[in-house]
Amino acid sequence: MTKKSCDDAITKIYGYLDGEISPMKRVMVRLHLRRCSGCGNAFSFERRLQIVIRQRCQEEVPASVMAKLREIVADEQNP
Amino acid sequence: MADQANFQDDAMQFAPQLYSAALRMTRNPADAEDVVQETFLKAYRAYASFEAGTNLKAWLYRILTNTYINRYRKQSRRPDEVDLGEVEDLYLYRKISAANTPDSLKSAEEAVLDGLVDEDVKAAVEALPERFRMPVLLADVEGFSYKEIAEIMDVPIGTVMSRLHRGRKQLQKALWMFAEERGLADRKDG
Repeated sequence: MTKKSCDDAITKIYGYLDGEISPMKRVMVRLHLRRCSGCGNAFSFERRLQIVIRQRCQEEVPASVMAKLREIVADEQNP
Repeated sequence: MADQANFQDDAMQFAPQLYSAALRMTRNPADAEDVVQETFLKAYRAYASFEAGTNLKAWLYRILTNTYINRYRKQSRRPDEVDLGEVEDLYLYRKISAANTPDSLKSAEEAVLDGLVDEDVKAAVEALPERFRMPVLLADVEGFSYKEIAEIMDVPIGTVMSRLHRGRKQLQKALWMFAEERGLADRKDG
């Protein structure tokens, strides 16, 4: 693949992965990825990284925190 | 108009996510709890002004974000504003590629993605300066669209995109440091 077509695809990577580019640009990126294994691999890595980031940032909310929130709202409703 | 009587049923389902986000913002559980409590109190009191059927999750995050900023603006105003320097696109991927041969690249990618633990990723997000941390958190952890993030943060969508882009590069730089420290990236010798 030409350097330019790879650069074009890379500048659209987050728009593409985030679902924030136009359908036409989306098709063009997809066509490039099908032809260029280097970019295909890079995009696939970024996609998996996004999933990893989301999964590993989850927290258990302590029961005491939930109970306190319910109490705050209940107090407001029945002063 | 939303009915205050339904607030508990409508809003409480978002409490765990709001608490997680507050933890990433404040970086400690006591402050996170305070911010979420204040958010729920404000949200309850303003609930009559929420237009039922619109995006409740984004509305709650907007209150959360404002609450956090109002509470902690004094402490966090300037130290964040250091120049971070430029980081190249696909930083983590390029670093892993450079540390490996074509044969070992696949297994190195897997080793990094599997080997970064929760604490690494959380610390990398929390290390971001506030103006980058918020869009990264809202997009990559909470899954909001650029338009929703612009509304939550009350900044133009172009600002969201540029901060998100820079924030992600900084995040990858931090993740690479953890990957190196854990010896995850170099798979050349098996």
